[in-house]
Amino acid sequence: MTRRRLGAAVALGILLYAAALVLVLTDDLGDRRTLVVLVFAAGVVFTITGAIAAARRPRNATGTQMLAVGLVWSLGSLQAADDSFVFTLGFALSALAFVPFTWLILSYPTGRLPRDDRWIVAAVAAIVTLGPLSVVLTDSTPITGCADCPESAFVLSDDAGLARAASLAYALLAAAAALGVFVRLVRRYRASTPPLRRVVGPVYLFTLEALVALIAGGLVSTVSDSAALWLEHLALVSLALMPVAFLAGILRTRLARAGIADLAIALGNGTPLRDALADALGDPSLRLAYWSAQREEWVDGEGMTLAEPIARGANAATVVNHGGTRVAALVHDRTLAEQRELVDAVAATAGLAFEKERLQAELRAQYRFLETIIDTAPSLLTVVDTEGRIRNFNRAVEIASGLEGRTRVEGRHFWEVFIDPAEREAMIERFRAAAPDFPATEYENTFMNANGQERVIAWHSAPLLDESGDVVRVIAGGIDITERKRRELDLQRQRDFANAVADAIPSFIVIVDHDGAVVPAGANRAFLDAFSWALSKLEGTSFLELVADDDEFSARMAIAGAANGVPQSERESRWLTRDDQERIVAWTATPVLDQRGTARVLVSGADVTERARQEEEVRASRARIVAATDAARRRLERNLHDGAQQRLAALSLSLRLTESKLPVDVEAALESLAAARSELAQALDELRELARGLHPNVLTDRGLGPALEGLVVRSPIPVTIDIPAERFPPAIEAAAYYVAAEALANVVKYAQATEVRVRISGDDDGEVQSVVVEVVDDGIGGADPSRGSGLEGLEDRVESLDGVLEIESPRGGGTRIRATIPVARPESGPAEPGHGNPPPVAGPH
Amino acid sequence: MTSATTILIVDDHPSFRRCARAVLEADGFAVIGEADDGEGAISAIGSLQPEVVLLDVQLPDMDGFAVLSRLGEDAPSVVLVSSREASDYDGLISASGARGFISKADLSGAAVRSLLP
Repeated sequence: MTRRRLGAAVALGILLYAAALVLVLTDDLGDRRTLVVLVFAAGVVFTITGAIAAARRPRNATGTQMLAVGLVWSLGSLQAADDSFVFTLGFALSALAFVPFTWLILSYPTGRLPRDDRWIVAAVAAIVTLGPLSVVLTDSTPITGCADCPESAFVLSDDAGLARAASLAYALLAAAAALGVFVRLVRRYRASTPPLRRVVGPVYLFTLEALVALIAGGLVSTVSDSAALWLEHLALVSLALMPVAFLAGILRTRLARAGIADLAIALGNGTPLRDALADALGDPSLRLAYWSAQREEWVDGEGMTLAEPIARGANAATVVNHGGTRVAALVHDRTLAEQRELVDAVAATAGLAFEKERLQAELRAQYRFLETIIDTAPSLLTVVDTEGRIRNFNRAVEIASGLEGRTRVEGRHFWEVFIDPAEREAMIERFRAAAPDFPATEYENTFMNANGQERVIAWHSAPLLDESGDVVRVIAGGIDITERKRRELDLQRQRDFANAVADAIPSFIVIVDHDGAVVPAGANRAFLDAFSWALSKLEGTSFLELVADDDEFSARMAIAGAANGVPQSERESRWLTRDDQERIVAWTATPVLDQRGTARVLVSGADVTERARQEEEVRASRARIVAATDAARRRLERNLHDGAQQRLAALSLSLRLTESKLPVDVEAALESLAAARSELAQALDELRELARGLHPNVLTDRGLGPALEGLVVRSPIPVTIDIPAERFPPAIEAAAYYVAAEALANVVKYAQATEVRVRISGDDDGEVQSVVVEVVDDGIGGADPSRGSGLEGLEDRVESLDGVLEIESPRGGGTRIRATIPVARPESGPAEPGHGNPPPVAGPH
Repeated sequence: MTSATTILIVDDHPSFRRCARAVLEADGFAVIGEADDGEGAISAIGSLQPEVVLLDVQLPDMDGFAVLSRLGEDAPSVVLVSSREASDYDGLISASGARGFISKADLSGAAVRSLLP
């Protein structure tokens, strides 16, 4: 209600009651004077208290409602008039004030009428409007027993029965309405919290008393006028006093402020904050919540987190700020919200205490938080005293030690819990040696816990000092690294295994970085041995320096390719040993990650020098075979051309000459014929020799002995031979024959020997059966296969049969040529391919 | 009667030289000398000035074509001989400046004469 409206209402009240006063003073009221004065007084009291309440608590409608009751009440004063019409009007309107009254009583103390109660107000409105009206219409003397009262100006029927019925009906309906209100108020009171009861109690009491009196008066009036009048007086007195109760309830805040001084004293006396506040606010259910700025949540005095919202149901929360920051909240009865000033005043008085309590609560909250962390952390935490006894520990300690339950750990020496018996004495000694400073240390220990499990713990310990700087406790934090250790061990085993494999295999392994530099420990044993490197010297050396210049580009490309993640196909390069010897290596470059995850290039290769040499030898051997074949063909052509062909050409000419001479000069013709025969004989000889040179037919037919005897016969140097009659596979016999024939031809050509010995023998060492051909002369020696003496061709021939040709030819010491040719076993063998075919290479020069 | 045509026989095989001399002399040639290699042939041509040279293709030091290339403008007529076929030297003979080629087995005075101008 605005001030202006309030002013207008008060003015209206003054006007109304001034008029009423005039009526009361001027009229002759007779017996009714007391009643009229009481009615007047009750109306005035309602009006004044309503105005005060509306002015003090403008937001609460209670004052307005009281004012309304007071103003409407004044209409009842019209009954005091002597004039019949005014009196009758006054009677008809006299009960109208019960409409705002019902509204007021049911809205109290909030001033808001609950929705469920609206019908009660409407019913009351209907009863107090129609009830008195029906009375004045039927009863000429509406106020029973009032002899001085004028008669009803509106009476329509003067039937006493009807008047009595109307009066009774009105009284019953009024009683029913009053009963409804009564029941409603009782229920409400029972449902109220103590603070609310304190507020509504007096009001309800006065109301109930007034209602009871009114209802009783109404009912009794039909029987006894004097008793009814007495009850009416009682009801009016109750009503007149009721505003005081309203005012007391509404203005309770003002009164309660007096309790704030008590609050300050109580806090000073050390009364717990909550209890002192509960007293001051009159709310025993009061709870306190503290704001933890650090955790940004509400906690209780013990630091336990409170669920949001902190106020529920019948509770409301009032946040308390101190020094501009939120410190706490009062969780109180919802009705206290109506007493904002009181709550604020209480909160302000207790501000400092709140701050202190809040800090304590926050400290407790932090402590709880830490405690939770410590107990849920996987790390072991123990506090031991200077005697080594465990004084405090967390849950992880119980788990790691296998000693579940605080009593099994608390008070024991830590070495009994964490140190194996074998190491215990040494640990005790170390612990005592650390006294009294117990400097911070780190150590790792392995022990068997109470469950028989082996645990590895990495410990860090630090001293805890008191205010004088003395060590009172030692805090040790440990991490259970059993799993990590096991994995490390596994990893180490795998690494050792890989290293052992890498060092055992004959292949070369070199690990280089992206620039090709060999990484630390980046080469295996096979590489270091083969290339005469020490690991320490090799580290950091560019791999490209280990490769021959001509192959460097290819190697660089391979490393770069692998460094870019592309595995390289196998290639052959010449790698250099530390003393610049070349080894041919077939190798690849592969991208790999080392144990730290760094990208590296794995160079792995195999030494193929020997294979390459053998391949080269095979190639050279093939080339020599072709060359030898070509030379043999050339030799054959030359021999035919220079020998048999010339002879036959000359023979042709001789015969032509003979032909021309025959009839003319017989003697000359005979001479020519003789010459021709001689040419023919020589031509035949030469052709025979030539044919024998291609392949001795006798060797195929008769074997080594007869074939070599032919050579011996034609040799200009005496030859002794020792040849078994045994036959060998044709390829072996051919090889043996040509070794002997070539050796003999060399002896004749170069050795200047006086005698030669040829010996062919079988040799069987139990595993391999061989044919050994030996040609020994007493010549000048110094034979060299590379000088093209035909010995190289023999070497090829012997080696093609997996045989070995050895030449000993010291200068001046004669020459010994020895060929050992394995003879194939029946199932397989190197000699088989040549079986039955003539040898592929032409014979001796 | 005109004097016999002078001829020099160049061949490294004595038996052929002997038979060739007998055949050519019998056919009226005057064999004025023999040589058994290329150098010998060039030197004999210079000193003996034969009208015809019977030159073997295959000589120990150089072949007959090499000998021909070293002869000057006023060289005698050269007839090449060989125990091989003329087809073996196809092309070389016509480019050599020689009068022609006779297989050794077919040598006769008439054959030589038929190649001379």
